[in-house]
Amino acid sequence: MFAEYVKTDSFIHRLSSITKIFLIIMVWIAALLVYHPILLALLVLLDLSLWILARIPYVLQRIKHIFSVLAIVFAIWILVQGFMFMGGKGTPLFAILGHPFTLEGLIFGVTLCIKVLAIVCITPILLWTTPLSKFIAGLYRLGLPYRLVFMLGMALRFISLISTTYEEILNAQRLRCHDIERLNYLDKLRKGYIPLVAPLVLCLMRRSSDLEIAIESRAFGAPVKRTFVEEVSLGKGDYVILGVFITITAILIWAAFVMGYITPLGLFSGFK
Amino acid sequence: MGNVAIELRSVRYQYPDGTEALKGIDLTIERGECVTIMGQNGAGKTTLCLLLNGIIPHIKGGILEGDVIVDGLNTKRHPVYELAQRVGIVLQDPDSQLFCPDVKSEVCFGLENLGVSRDEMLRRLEWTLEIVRLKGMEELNPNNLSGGQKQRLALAAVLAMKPKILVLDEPTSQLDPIGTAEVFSVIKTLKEEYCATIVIASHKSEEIAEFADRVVVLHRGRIVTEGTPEEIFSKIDLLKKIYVKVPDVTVAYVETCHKIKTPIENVPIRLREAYEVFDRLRRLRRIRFKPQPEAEKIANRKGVPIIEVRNLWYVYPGPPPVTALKNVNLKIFEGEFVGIIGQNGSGKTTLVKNIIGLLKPTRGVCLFKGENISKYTVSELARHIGLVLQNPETQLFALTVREEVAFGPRNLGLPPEEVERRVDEALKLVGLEGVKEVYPPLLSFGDKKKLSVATVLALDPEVIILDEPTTGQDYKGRYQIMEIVKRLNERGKTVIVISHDMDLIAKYTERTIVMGLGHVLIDDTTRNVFSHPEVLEKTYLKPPQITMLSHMLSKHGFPGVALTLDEFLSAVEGVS
Repeated sequence: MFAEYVKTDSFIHRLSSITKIFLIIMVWIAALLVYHPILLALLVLLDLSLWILARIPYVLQRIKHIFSVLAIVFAIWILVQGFMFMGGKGTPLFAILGHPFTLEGLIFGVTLCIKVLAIVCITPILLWTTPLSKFIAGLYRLGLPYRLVFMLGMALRFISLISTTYEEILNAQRLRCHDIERLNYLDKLRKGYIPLVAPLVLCLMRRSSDLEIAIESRAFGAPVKRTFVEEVSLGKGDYVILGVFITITAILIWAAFVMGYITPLGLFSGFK
Repeated sequence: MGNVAIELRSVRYQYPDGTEALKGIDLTIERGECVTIMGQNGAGKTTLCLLLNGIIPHIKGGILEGDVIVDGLNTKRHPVYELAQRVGIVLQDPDSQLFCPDVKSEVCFGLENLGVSRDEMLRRLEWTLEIVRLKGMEELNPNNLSGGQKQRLALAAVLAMKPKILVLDEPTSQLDPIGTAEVFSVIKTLKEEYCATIVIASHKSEEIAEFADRVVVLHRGRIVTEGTPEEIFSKIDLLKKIYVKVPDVTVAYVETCHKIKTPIENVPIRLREAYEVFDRLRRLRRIRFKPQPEAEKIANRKGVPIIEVRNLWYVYPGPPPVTALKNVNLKIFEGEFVGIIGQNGSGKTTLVKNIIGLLKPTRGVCLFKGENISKYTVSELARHIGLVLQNPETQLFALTVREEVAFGPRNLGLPPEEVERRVDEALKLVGLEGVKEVYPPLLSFGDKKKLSVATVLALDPEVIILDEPTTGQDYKGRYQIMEIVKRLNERGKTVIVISHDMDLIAKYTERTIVMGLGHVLIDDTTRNVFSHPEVLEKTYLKPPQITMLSHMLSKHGFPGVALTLDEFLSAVEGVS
C-alpha cells in the first residue's frame, strides 16, 4: 500500500526520479520549518493534488489507511500536548484531577499531526509513481555510493519478504491449533508473536545466503564503472514542476516566517 | 586444452561446518557438451554446481583441495565476478534469485555490473527475453510472474551475460509439467543453436533422457558412474541401490525381457523408442497383452460429504484484485484419497486454504460435515482437518523435534501422557523416532518435510491435506512421504494431495481433480482422468510416461491404460 508501484500513466510518472526526490525533500523542509496549522494544511493539500495529478486510484482508501495507522499516535500527541504544552499555561478548556487541558496545547498537538500528515502524504508519491529501478538509478546519479543504493533496494524488497514469511509461519501455528485469535493482548505477544521471531530470522538468513549467491554470480562488485539501463535525465517538465514547487514552498516558509510561526514558540506567541 | 570447458582434478571439498560434500571428483566436460548430474539429495550435486563459478570457495569458505579449471581459469585464483562472465549459474528456488523490482532490471543487473553500454544492454535484453519467451513483460514485477516464468527469468538474467558455460541446479523442481517442458525447451535451444556448454543437476530422468549427452551419477560425494543416458539408465540395479530414478519405460522393457527371457539390448530410454520396441516384440509374437480385471469402482459415496465446497469464489484483494477461484463446487467423502492437479497458479492452494479457513470465501461456502466452517477459527478446524503447507522451513519453530510435534497436542489441552503418546506415534509413523532431541533446522530437507507431516498427524485429524508434499524431494523421499500418506488412508483418514508429480498422483490416488484458471475442469476417477491425454494436454498437464506408453499401445490391443509400472507389467506376458 505504501511502497507499491501504481501502474498508471501520468505527468508525474514521467518525471525524473531525481525531480521527485527533490520535491519530497522540499516538502519535508517546509513541513519541518512551518508551525502554522493552516499553512501546513495547505501543504497537505499540495501533496494530495500531486496524488490526483498522478492519477493514484483508491485515494479515499489510501487516506483512510494512513489515518488508521497514525490514529493512536495522533491521539496521544493531542492529549500529551493538551496537558503539557507550556507547562499548562494558557486557556484551559477542561481539567482532569486539577490538570488543565489548554486550547494552545490542543492547537499545537493538531499542528504536529498535520505536520506529520504533510510528510506522510508526500513520501509514498515517489514509490507509487517511480519504478524502483529508476529510483535506484536516480539515487546513484545524485552521487550516493552504489553499494548503499543497492542495499536500500534490497531492504525494500526484504520488507515484503518478511511480511510473507511472517504470515506463513503464523498460519503454520494456527494450523497446529494455536488459537492466536482468542488470546488476550499480553498472551498474544508472549505466546503468539515472540515465538515467531526465531523461525523468521532463520528463514530470512537462508534466503539471504541464496540471494548472496545469486548476486555474486551476476558479477556484483566487478571493478569497472557501473552502467545503468534506466536513463535518468531532466526534461522541460521536470524544471517546470521544480520551479513551481520551489516557489510554493518558499512562499509558505516566508509566510510562516513573517507571521512568526517558524518555531513552536512562535505559535504560542501568536495566541497571546 | 582448447576443447575443454571444465576440468575438475581430484576435487575434495569440506563445508565450514565440517560436512564433507565432495570426496575426490575427477571430471572433464568438453565445450558444447550437455552433462546432467544425478544423485539423491545430499549426494553433492549443488556443491558441484557452486564450485564451477567460484562461489565455492570464495563466498562459502570451507576447505577445497584439488583444482577446478573453468574455461582455462583456475577458480581459486580468479574472483567470482570474473568467473561470472564465463559461467552462468541458475539455482533451484527462483524466488531467492530474483531481487530486482522489474523484469528489465533483473535481466540487466549483471550487465550493469560489468559496465556494458546501454545500447548493448537493450540489445541483449531483447535477445534473451526472446529466447526465454518473456517478451513484452519488461515492466512486470518478478514477484507477480508464475513459477515457470520466474524460473525462465532467472535463466534470462544469467543468459544476458552471454556465459560460455551454463550451470543449472534443479531448474524445474517447483514447476508443473508444462513449466518444466518450457524450461527444458529453452535449454535445448541453447544447446542446439548456441552450442553452449550446459551442466544440469536434476532428478527428472525422463527429460534428461531427451537431451543430455552425458549423465554423471553422484553418490555421497563421489562419481559412481558416468556415460551416455543409454548406458547409465541401463544400469537399473545400480541406480536403484543409490535411489536414482530410471525412466519407467526403461524399467518396463528390462523387466519384460527378464520375463520372456530375451537378452537385453538397445535399451529404450525415451517414450517413442519404448513404443517401437514393444511394438516390435508384439509383431515378432514374443509378447502379447492380456486383458486386465475390471477397474475397481469408487467406493460408496453416499451420505454427508466430509468436505463440501459450494459455489466458491475467491478474489485476492488488490490493487489490482485477482480472482483465484471461480465458482468451485466439490464434494469429498470420508475415506477418499483425492489428488488435486493443475498448472502453477490454477488455484489449488487457494482452494485448500479456503477449506480450512485461512482464507475467507469472497462468495459461496465451505462445509465440514455439513456445517459452514465460517463459525470456527482456523485452530478449531485444525483439529479435524490437518493441512501440511508446502514449505517445511516456515512450519518448524520449536527447539527439538519432540517439542515441535508436541506443540499441537498441547494446544488441544491434552494431558501430558496423551501428548507423549501422540508424539511417539506420529514420529514412529514418519520414521523419525530416532531424532527426538535434534534441533529441527539441522534435519535434512526430506526429514523436515516428514516432521512437518508428523506435527499435523499428532493432532489426529480426520482429513489430511498435503500441499505439494514432494517438492524438493528426491526419488526416495517422494515415495517415503506418499507411503506414509497411503498408510493413513488405509487407517480410514480422508486424504487430499496437491501435486505436480503425475507419477505419484496416478500411483496413489483413487480420484483426481484437475484445476485450471480457478475452475474445476475435471473431477473423475484417476484412471479416467489419465485415460484422456488429449484433454489433459489442454490443461497443460500430461499423464505419466508409462501411462502414455500404454495409451500408445492401446491401438495394438493393450487393455485400458496402465497407471503404474506394475499395472503395465501385469498386462504384458510372454508368448510361449
